[in-house]
Amino acid sequence: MKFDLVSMEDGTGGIVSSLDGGEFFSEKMGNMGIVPGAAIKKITGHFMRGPVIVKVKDTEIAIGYGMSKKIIVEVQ
Amino acid sequence: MKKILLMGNPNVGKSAVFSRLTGVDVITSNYSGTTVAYTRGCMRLGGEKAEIIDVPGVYSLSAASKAEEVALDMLKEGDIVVNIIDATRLERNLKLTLQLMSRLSPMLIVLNMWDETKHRGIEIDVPKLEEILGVPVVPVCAVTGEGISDLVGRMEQSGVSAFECDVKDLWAEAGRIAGKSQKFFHRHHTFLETLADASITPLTGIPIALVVAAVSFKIVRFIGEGLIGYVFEPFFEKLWGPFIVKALAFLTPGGLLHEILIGKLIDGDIDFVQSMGLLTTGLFVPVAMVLPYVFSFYLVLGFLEDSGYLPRIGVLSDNLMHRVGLHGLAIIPMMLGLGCNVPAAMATRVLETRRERFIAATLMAIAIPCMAQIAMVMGLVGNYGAKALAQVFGTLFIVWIALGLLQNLLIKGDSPEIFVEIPPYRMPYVKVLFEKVFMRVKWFVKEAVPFVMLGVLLVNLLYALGVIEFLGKLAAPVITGIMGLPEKTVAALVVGFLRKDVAVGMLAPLGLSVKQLVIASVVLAMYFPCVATFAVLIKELGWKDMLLSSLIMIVSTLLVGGVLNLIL
Repeated sequence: MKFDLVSMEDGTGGIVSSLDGGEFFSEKMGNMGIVPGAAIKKITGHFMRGPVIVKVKDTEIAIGYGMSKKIIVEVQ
Repeated sequence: MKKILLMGNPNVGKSAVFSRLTGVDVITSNYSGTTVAYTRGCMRLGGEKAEIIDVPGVYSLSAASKAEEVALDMLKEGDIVVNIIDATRLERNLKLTLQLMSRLSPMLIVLNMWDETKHRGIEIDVPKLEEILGVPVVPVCAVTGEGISDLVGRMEQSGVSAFECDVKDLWAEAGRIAGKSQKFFHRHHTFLETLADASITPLTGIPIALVVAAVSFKIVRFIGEGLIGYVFEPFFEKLWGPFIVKALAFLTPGGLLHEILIGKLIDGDIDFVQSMGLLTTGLFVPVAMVLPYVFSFYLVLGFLEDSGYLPRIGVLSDNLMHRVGLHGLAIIPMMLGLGCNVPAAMATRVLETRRERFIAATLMAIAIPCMAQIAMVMGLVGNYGAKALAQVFGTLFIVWIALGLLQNLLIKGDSPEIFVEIPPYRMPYVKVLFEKVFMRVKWFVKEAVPFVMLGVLLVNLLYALGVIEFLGKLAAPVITGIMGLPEKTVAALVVGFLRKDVAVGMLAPLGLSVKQLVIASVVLAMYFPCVATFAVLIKELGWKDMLLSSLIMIVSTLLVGGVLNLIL
């Protein structure tokens, strides 16, 4: 099943399948290790369009709501 | 002279290594973006002097951001690149290492935070890593200094790596190298990790943040008031006061020199708050009223910074910050601003766009009073009870929100979303923490004391020359007419350009009502930044934006002063 980061459930993990953004967006995500194929776990979301907290390669990252919408994850 | 560049991802401890190598004190914290400017220092290398440059952290060398562009430029000049890696996050850090290696500069790799790998169940095979990468790899723990001499010793072995890397997929390459050189051991979730999750989840995180804020406030007040009541006030009242009375007994009260050095005697005695002499009020305000609060504030702030809690407040307040056209990380300049607006103005550089920097700097300069000013307001307005204090700080908070909403509506440009690494919690090193507190306190003393003295001197001269009276008459329509303050308040406003703390202190002898005291305190906080902050803001924003920012300050001050006069 594919979800974007916002609709993914807290505490679940998966593999990044695609980034729905331009080159700049992919570059920005890529710098932090968010690339297609990378393992990712959602720690928590924040209400009222708040940021999503994920764990990628042993590091927690806060990602704004709009950007999180564009990160598509394959959840097993 | 050889140039050595310290480079690496954000928050890997570059500044900690820098200060170990050079002996120069620099501020270090546990979050990304503490270093916003290049810091230069010197060290001895093989009997020769070498220059070391602490380069702000970058994730990549793709020139996608301003920081990366500058880092790329720096690389051309460097003779040796010291690539600093957070040893607990080898794979993540190796991507930049691979990019640096492909630039073919002589380099050396530092595995910082080596001590922490053990707690985290990570074992790195250093010789294996050296063999793969073909450059020296030195494990260190910069905060304790472990491994630093080894680093210096091996600096000259730095070499160009012959490693052939798959440039198309750096992450995969980094993963392969990390896989070959590092092993993980199973271990249980540590307490700090459980706390990390709880403090970032909204349901538990927000209550935790409120408790942290309340406790921080209590500690700052407890230490600040304790130091004032038990150490500084007794010192001034019992020792310093009698001493200057004796030492300067030859001066006659009322004479010019007496006025300037000691000031006015209140009921035949020195009153350290009201006398306004260089050796009385001029010393008492910065040393006995402000310094204790500055010390206790930086102690608590330092703990929040080094533990890694600060960026978490940023994430939790991201929602609120969006309403004012910023994102969560802008909380960092605001928090720093509570200490002193000068470093806070510089910290606005962590924000990406001009719009964000403008909004953040303007909000900070108008509605965030610095600790010097807060301490004085506590001391003066606090005498009239919690309600008066709440009126002062409540008004500033409302101003912050209202101006933020307004600027978000009116100012054109982009405000990107938050995107930031959250550092793991770390137990602050007591020694490092205290060094940082003393560095900031020393900076305060060096900056504040001369300016306060200058301010006090200026007041005396302006009074003597009748300038204050003249300005008071001139400004009366605004000061008395709109804000309901006596003409004499103009003296405080003039001195407020120099130092806000003395300015608040100057309200003491004016015999203001509580209402007037509240209005004057708010107006002093808002109307203009002190000269030191002003100078930095011009540098950060440029003349044009600073002019606009100043205009916003003046208009909002008049508005708020007038409204308070009507409703209080």
